[in-house]
Amino acid sequence: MLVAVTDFGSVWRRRFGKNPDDPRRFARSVYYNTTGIDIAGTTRQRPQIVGYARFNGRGGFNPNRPSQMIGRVFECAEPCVWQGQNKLLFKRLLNAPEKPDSFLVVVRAQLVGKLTIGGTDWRSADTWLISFSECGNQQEAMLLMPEHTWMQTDLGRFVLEPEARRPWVARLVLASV
Amino acid sequence: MKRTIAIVTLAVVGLIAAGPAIAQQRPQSAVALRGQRQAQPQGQRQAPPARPMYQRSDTWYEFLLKQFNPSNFDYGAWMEERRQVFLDESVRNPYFKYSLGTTIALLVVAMIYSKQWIDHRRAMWITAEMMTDLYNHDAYSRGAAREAIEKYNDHIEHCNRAIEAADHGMSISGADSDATSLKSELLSVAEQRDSYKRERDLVKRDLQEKEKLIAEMSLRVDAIGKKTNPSHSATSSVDMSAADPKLVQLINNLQEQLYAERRENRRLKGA
Repeated sequence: MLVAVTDFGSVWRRRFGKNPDDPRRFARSVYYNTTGIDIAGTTRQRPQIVGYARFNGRGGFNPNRPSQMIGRVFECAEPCVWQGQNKLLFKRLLNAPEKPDSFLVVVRAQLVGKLTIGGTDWRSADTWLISFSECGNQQEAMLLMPEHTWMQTDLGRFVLEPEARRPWVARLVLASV
Repeated sequence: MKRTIAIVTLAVVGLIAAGPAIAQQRPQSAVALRGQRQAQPQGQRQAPPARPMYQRSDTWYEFLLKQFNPSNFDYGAWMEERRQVFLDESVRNPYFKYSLGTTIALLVVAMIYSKQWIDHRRAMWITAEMMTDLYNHDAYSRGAAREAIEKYNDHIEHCNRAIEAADHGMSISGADSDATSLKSELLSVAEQRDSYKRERDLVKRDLQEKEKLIAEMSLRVDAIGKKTNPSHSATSSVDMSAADPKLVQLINNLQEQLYAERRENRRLKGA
């Protein structure tokens, strides 16, 4: 499946090759992105629902410029549950963007309002909640959402609308309150 | 009228003629008046004798008064008699008291009713004003919410454009001038999107069927593998990478429910 990235979570982790003699140790690195909360100037994970997006260093992901990965389309594996954690593997970055099947969306409570996770009808049925962090009034959630799906917060209903000319770029639009 | 003029003329003439004798006759007149009063009831009972038009024994004003009341009728007694009759028929009559009480009660009831009606009307007016205020406030709130939504969307749009421009080292350009061409393009793209969606749904359905088949086959393979190598089943981690997407979706929903339950438990514990 093809997934376009609209944003990243706040927490990054990486794993390099364990063999220090391997010359391609850093090229084979793996990067994990998940949600986090800013607490007293430090980003903490505070996971309520554990999950992550995994990027392979060999798959074209540039860890030094993650902002350049926003709006790009990746070839991904199907979302799965691995050792109790939700996992979305980003295999390879497409050279030319195509119309994606889904979008990796990260929402924060200070921008879209408080999420009512666990309540009824707070998101479309065909979306997938990868990771969710919460502490106090702060919330951050990472979701996999197809286009035109929606999510409900206490601010209103947000619909993921792709751009007409660039269907791999989408954003959450406040549709109703 | 002529009679009155004649009476006045006679009075003036009489006054001139009898002027010097008035002082001498005054004591006699008072005595005569007293005698006349004593004789009056007898005069009422008996037919009055024919008397001359003007008697020298009376004073001029007695004469004048007799012209207005020739029969010497006691109007005071008559008034008193009529007053007593009126009082007997009104104030001293028990029916009058009942009627007066009923009238006063009816008036009080009418006044109370009027007050209640006025109060009710006032309350209805106040309620109508409050409802109008609420309606206006609701309309204003909806308008403000609509404006806020537009403002929010525009702001996010500008932010996105600014981020993109910063990434590409470009300056932010103004709004697209050829809006009509964009609209037509949007319509054509929307049509394409719909057709793609239909195709996608068909392909999705096929894909789901295939995935289900693969999942069943993988389960069978796992079962066969477990039979051939029992030690393999002791691994602790569960690989669900090849599981049915519906199952993954179910797990996702269960995770949410678990989070909600934990939060509810924390709330109940007072944490």
